[in-house]
Amino acid sequence: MGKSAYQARLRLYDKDENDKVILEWLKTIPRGTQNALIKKKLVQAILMERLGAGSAAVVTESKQFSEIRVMAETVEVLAVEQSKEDVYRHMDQVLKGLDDL
Amino acid sequence: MEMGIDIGYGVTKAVRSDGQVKHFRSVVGLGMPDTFGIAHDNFTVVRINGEAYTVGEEAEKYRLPLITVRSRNSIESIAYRALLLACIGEDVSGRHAIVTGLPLGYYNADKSRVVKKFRETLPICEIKVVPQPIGTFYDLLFDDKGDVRYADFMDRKIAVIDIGTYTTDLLVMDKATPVAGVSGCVEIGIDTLTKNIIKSLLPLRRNISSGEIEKAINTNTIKKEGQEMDISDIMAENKSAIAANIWSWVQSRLGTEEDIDVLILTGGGGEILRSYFVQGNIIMPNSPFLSNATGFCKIARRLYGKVGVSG
Repeated sequence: MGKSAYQARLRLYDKDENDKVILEWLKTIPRGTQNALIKKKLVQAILMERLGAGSAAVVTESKQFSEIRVMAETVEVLAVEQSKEDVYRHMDQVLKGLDDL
Repeated sequence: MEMGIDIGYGVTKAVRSDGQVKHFRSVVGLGMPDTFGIAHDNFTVVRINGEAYTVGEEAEKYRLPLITVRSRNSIESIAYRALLLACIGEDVSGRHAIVTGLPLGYYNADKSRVVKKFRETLPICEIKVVPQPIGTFYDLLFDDKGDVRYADFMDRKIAVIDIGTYTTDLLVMDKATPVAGVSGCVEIGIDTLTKNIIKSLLPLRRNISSGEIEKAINTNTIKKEGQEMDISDIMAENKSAIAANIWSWVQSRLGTEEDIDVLILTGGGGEILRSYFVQGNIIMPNSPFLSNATGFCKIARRLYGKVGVSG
């Protein structure tokens, strides 16, 4: 599905129109993408509820870094960017922890 | 030499840091094959207290009296030591740094017994025991050079489903930390599949060996009266049923699959049953059959070979 078609579907989803069409479309995309889309929409809904009527919330994400931006105010979610040494250090701790079990 | 060793109930696998890989069936025969004087070069024979033991498929082929490791207590058996020695090869007195694994269900109780048995067999060795599926997690997390392959594993909830010969292990890693409560082990594996296929084939053929079924799992055919017979429908039906049983057990442990970001399917059984798991967020290592042992070897290189240490 092209980008514009995807966005058109997304707009449809935003307006709660024609649930049946959306559900049919959801069946055609991978489960992981479905989950990501639903999570994104939920975060958006929660943020909009917190801000009150008339607000808009935008959720942006990338593979290594995630942030949730609400209008002018930015709320940063824990970044995944970790150095190789951090990853090794964490896994060393996990392996050491296994010795203490 | 750093090494990962996975002594499974069905198959034993060894991966060395120099790239050598060995795998053989976890069966041990008493003595050596009688080949009417023809050379014994193709057999893996080890000696324990002066007695010879033949390890792997050849022990079955030459109808030697067999000792299997199909029980939890096999750690104490001579067969377990023979399999370990077969992994090591001739350099028994050398210095080895080994990481091995245990099924999750027995990890806490049997860890010290495994360490003791390794030290008895290989006096100059460093040994570390980890829960088996951690091997696959580590194998996927780091590539062969020691670089991080999937950085996002550090911030996600991952479930490793490790389907072995007799058991399936589930290990949940939340932000790369094991979650003991939902992880566990169930006695369903490729042996269950083999037995079910034998039952399904009874109306067509009797006396089918496990070896024939193992071959049929890949070819979808079986011999009847000298002809290859197509049994793909029977295979698909049984594979689908086993995969559904495993998935049902996994779901009962996880509560809801939506809570898990990535499912990793591994083990020899993972490879066989992959197409019967339809969840969208599944990934598999390049070689699921060897992934635990490869991960153990990477852990050994890290712990004893200092891979990834800077400065």
